[in-house]
Amino acid sequence: MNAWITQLRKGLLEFCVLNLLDERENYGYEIVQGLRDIEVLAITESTVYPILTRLCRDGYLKFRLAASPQGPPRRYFSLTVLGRHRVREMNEYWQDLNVSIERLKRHGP
Amino acid sequence: MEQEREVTRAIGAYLERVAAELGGVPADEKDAILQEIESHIYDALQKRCGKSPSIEELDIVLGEMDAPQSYRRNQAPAGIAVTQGPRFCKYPIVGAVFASLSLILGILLWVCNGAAEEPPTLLKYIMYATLVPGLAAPVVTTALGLVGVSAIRASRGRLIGMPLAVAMSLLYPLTGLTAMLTFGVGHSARIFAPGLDMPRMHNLVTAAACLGLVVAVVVDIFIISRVWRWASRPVAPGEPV
Repeated sequence: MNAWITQLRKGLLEFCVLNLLDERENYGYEIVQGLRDIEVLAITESTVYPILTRLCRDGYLKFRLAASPQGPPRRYFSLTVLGRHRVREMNEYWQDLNVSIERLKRHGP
Repeated sequence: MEQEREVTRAIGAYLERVAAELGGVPADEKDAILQEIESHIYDALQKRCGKSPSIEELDIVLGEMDAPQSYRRNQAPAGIAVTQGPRFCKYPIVGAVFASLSLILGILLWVCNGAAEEPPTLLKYIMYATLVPGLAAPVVTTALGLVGVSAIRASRGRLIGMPLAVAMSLLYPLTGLTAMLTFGVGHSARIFAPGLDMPRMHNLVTAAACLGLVVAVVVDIFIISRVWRWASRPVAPGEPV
């Protein structure tokens, strides 16, 4: 069961990050805190920061630098046009998947 | 001051351990991840104790964070395809090349027709080389522009270059429409004032042509804005592109 949950969480990580940033831009610490609130996902910073970097590299996210009270400047992440397309597609697929799974549970294949 | 240095040293040591676990990650990505982690630590300290955190408070924050080894475990496994960023659609670029050759051909024909002497051989060779693509440009450029618009819409953000694709698809149709309206309105002035003498007829035709041009520009702007609005809106699921 744990292995299945781990795989499921890995697949949902990008989906969760993009949906979180679909509403408004945010910086790393707040993104981690926002995702940590979803306890069942058990998302922590060692999963989030590599994902944020990869999503920037792949063109789904952009960031702007802003001074922080202490430490290095904060990166405020937001979705690019490609990122908005991606999250829209993911949400549509998620909806279809949900409907199909529910139908499967009620009536079988 | 000494406490601040101790905290900075301890954060540096933690980041070095994380860096060691990110061994296979490209250098620029590793730097980005480490910068985010450092920012996270300072934000957590700021939230916990404001300015001048102690080493004990840093230990609590680091204790609540993932151990450095987690960064090795959480790297994407080999074999997962890395998605590429957006690419420029090639169809409108090829269309633009044809349009450029057509422009070169037009300029050369205008220059050579106006010249009293035989044009230089080099110019003639350039004219022959650009003749076929130049004559085909109105059809080819428009078709490639339309194909480009369709491909970019279907790619859902993976292909970019919509402004060029729309421009290529509309370039020749709108040029033809503008020419038709300008000359059509201009020459139709003759019908409404058949008895005028030559100078006045010329002025009337010129004024009418200017009016036709203004109308053509307004129509062009309207068409461009409608086409752009359609081309740039997101594609709904199942909608043909």
